Amino acid sequence: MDKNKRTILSRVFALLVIGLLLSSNLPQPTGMARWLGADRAQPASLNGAYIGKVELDYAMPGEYSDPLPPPDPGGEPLPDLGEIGLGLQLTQSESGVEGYVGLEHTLVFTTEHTVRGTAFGPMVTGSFDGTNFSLVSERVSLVSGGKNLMRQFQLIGGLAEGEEKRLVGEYRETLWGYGSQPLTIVGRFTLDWYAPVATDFLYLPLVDRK
Amino acid sequence: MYRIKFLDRRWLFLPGVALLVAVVSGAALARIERAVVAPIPCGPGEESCRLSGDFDPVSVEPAPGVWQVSGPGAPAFGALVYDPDYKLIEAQAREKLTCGLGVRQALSPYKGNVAFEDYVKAFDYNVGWGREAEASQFANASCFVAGTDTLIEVVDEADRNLREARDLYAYLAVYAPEYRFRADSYYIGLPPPGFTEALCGTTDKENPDPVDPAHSGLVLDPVIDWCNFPARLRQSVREAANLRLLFGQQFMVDAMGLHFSGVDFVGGENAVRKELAQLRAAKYQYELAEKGLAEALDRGLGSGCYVSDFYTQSEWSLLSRAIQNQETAQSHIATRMSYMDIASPESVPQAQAQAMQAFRQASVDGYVKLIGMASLGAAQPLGVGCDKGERPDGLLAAEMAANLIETRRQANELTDKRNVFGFDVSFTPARPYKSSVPTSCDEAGAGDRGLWDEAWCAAEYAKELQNDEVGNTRAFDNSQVALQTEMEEIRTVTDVRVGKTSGCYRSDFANDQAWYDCVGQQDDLLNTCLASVAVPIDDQTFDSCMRNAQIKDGEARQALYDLRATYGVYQNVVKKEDNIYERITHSDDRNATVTEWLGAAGALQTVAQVAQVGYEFVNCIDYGEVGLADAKSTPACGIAAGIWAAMEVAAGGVSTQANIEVENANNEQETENLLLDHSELMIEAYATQQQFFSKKSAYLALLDSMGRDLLEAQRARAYFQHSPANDPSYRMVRDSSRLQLAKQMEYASRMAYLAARRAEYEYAARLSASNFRISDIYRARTADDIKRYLISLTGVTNSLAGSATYQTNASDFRISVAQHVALITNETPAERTRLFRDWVAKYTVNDPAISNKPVLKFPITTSLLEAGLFSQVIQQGYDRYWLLKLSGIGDPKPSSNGVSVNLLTDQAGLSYRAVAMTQGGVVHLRSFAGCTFDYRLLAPSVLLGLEWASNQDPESATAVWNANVNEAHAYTENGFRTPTFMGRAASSTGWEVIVYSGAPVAGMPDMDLQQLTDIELIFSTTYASREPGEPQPSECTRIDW
Repeated sequence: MDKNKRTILSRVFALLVIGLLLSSNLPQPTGMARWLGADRAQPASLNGAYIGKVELDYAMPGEYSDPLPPPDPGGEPLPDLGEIGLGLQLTQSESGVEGYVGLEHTLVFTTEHTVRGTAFGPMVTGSFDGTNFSLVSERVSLVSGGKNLMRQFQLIGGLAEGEEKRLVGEYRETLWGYGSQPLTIVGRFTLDWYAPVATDFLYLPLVDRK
Repeated sequence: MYRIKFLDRRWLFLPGVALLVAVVSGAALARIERAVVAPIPCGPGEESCRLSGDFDPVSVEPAPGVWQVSGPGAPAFGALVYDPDYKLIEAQAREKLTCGLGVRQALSPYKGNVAFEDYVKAFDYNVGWGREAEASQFANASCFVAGTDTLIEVVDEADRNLREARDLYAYLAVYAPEYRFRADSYYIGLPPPGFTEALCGTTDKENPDPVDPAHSGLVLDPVIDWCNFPARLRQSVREAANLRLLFGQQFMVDAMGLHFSGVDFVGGENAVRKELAQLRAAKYQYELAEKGLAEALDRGLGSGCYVSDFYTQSEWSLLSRAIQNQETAQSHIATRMSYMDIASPESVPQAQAQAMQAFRQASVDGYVKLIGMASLGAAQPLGVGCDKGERPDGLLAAEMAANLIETRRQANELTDKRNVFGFDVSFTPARPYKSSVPTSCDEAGAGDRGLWDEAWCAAEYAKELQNDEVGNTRAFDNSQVALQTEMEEIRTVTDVRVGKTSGCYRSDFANDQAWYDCVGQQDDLLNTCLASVAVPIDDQTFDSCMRNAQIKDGEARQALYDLRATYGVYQNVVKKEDNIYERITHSDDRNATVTEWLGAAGALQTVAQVAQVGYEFVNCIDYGEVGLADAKSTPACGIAAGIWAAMEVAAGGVSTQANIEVENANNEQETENLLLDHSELMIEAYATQQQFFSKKSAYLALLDSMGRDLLEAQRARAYFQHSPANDPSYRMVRDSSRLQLAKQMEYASRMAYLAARRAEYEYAARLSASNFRISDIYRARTADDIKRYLISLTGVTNSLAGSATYQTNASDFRISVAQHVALITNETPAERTRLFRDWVAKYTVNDPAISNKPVLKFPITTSLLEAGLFSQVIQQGYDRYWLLKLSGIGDPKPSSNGVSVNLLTDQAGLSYRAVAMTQGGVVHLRSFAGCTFDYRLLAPSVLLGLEWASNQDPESATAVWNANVNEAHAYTENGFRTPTFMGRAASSTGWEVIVYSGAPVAGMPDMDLQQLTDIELIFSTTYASREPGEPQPSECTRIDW
């Protein structure tokens, strides 16, 4: 199957999924932007390099998979936690989405993998149903301030409304080892498609060094 | 009965996981044994040693509803009881806190602590972690384990003590029956040795900021309540952190400051390498500070509480500061790594990669701790009753976020190819390299001052400031040395003298005031006893007075005893005198006549009368302040006074000269002998009195001396405290001159960098190929470094091809817009004109924003490449041209004419029109080798962050002047040429030309643009010459930054 045919089939499949979603009135994930426009005509795939940022909102004890309700808006004003850069190199296959954190666009991750001489951060895996996606990173260890820490993050989101090359959603990252309980920071990510990568990225990645 | 036994370096773990951090984390409680059971050593994790208890609202505390663990204990040793268990734990905690505190205070810059002077301040000259340290300068010797010989060992030991104290106090805060302590006379009664106040109050007396009742402006020492265990826990935490932060900051200051060798400032690569070492040392100290603070986060106390549950904002703030300081230090490390060890262009990427790695490390550390701090701020204590402190304020997380942004900004500068000055390294300053006329740094720049000259003058001024700073530093240090010498004199001489006299030695007191009080008290007590020094021997008043235990064993006390002994001799004389008197007055010869006595012949007194006089004389001797004057005030003593003069004579001679002649005596010889003894006792009494007065005078002088010495010690201390050299403002004067120098150094460095960058452009050269690294300027730390850099730079450029020696050619080129821009060639003249006018029509603009008349606005790209514009303009020997730049007017060659425009038109009577030209974009220069180098010329004011109009493009140069029409004027005529583009490359991707059709003055006709037949751009240029030849690719590679 050549690339064009595969692209067409994947788009048809994505359209069907979108149609199903829209017709079934499936509830959108709460707490996130409405990622998929109703008039979106093109299905999408998570292939390529995405770069952007995560605006950090709040942090609290707990793990990323916990409910972690946002702080009471009427409570104490939240501190401005700023933002971090984030870059992902993603490849979508039938089994799901895989990829790595690209280090060129973020300073808060360190080298965890080297593929064909290129350093990458933590590996991420997840799924994309044509509308929404969920990615979880591997858990990585580090030593900081004399403490043995572990980090893992999760991205849940989808395509931005009217911006088929933009991913938006919620970012959660959990830190273990800093204190007696796991701590999680919650933010909102915006990632823009930056460049394509080959489908065999995981094995022979073509990294855009523009 | 249980008994706690302290064994060094053994660990006992109490509750759950960690409780016994507390009882023992440190050197302490190693084993708790039961009297009837064999001792059981407790090691980490041993089940039998884990402490547990009933966590119950019905606590051992009397206050109802207070959550408390009741009856904590462990299988190994059973329940802990107040006495001795808790008291021993408290004593252990107090000892450790006191030890650690002693070290921290000794290193504090306050109060003239000698350890600060010796160890911290001297860091400038001798990074002294490994240097030998006198432990006694820091704290009681018992605070240190054997082998604590170096400064780092002293600090490590103090840190360990403080962290152990922290855990012990945490344990006490949770488990100990505080009310028992506050009812214990040991704690609330007289202060124990080494303390001036009771350890605890019956209620909490803690007051960290007591008000001075005398309003003397002094900051009083905080009032400590040793039974306020949470406060002591927090104090232990803060002291440990401050100890590390103190040295971290010292390393940072040294790294960021000037490197003064004692003779001159030290600069260059070695200085940067030393900075890196100091920054790494600083970061390590900050890491240790953070480690000590953060380990409380997961240090459980077995009650569900963690040590950090007792933290307040002060402790959280220290944690935040320790983290941020690490990040800052790491950022500085990264910045320096970006320009260290660059020996060749190829090593630049490697250095930058290492720098990026360092930035990444800083960022990751900062980020994960930001998560930690922000989460802890939102968290609540886990255990019931753990709400003992505060959660970190959100502002701390926000500060950490801001620090993270700063780190990212610095890293981005590196990835954006900005250098350490913030300059985009792809830019070249649009300002000449050298001044057009010789420059004097003493005057405002004459002519067009070049960047090199500007940098040189800036470095010269920096050198002046540097010399000032050397002087200031030396004066400061000298005054510090003098001050230190004076303090040493006070400590080793005056203080010791006062100590010997009074018995109050300064080293025995916690502070100066307590010592002053002791000396004053001795003076009072001894003077009280002095009043009774002359009472009869059998009177116990004096002895009773001197038995006061508060009287110290000093020279003054001894002198008073000596005085009393002298008086005792007199008393003995009186006794003898009484005996003789009695014998004479009861003898048969009492009425015998004395014919000579004490050298007075012919006297008619009887023996009894003479004896009476002597008796009264001896007994009338007064030991009061005024001596015999009082004696004369009574009749009896008045008689004695009559012989006073004779006595003085006799006392001055030999007793045998006091001849006695007696007549009519039955036992003449015996009577004479009695009178002779009698006389000698009078003399002895007199001499004793003199001796007494002498000793009394000496004693009073001793006390006076003590008072003077004490006053001198007080004055010296006051002088030390208020000495200009010790005055913070004096330091600020020194620091301000340093800041002034630093600012000038930065300016000079930036200008030197720009000069080098400009030189590369003006010579179309690669300085790195001449063994000159532009990045060397990042390592400049002294004015001399900068001057050496500039000398080296000019040494290279003076020798380069393209220097004044070589750049000797000037030529004016005409560019036909029709031919070279519109590329209209080979047609007939009519067709050529038609095509050109079509081209003109295409670029004719009717834009009121430009003019209310049509304008011709067109771009030009001038290219140096073969088949490019200049190869068409210079039709012969083009590949021999290089370094083609535009001239000014009469500069750099007398024949230079700048840039002018000639409009060719069929329309008559126009004379001239306004024309505007702008050169922007990337400019090009051909190098000596034949490479074409690209440059982006940028206004220096933008590079330096000075004012620049936001609506003006800093990368372009623009000029408006008059264009000739049909050569009505010579292009060499002023007003018809512009010098604006002088020094800019003739080749650029971003030329823009605007020809205004409107009449420049009233009365002249507008120009019909469609009558134009061509436009000539006349570029007056300078160029250098070369042999034709293709360059090696490596010769066209420019890498430096």
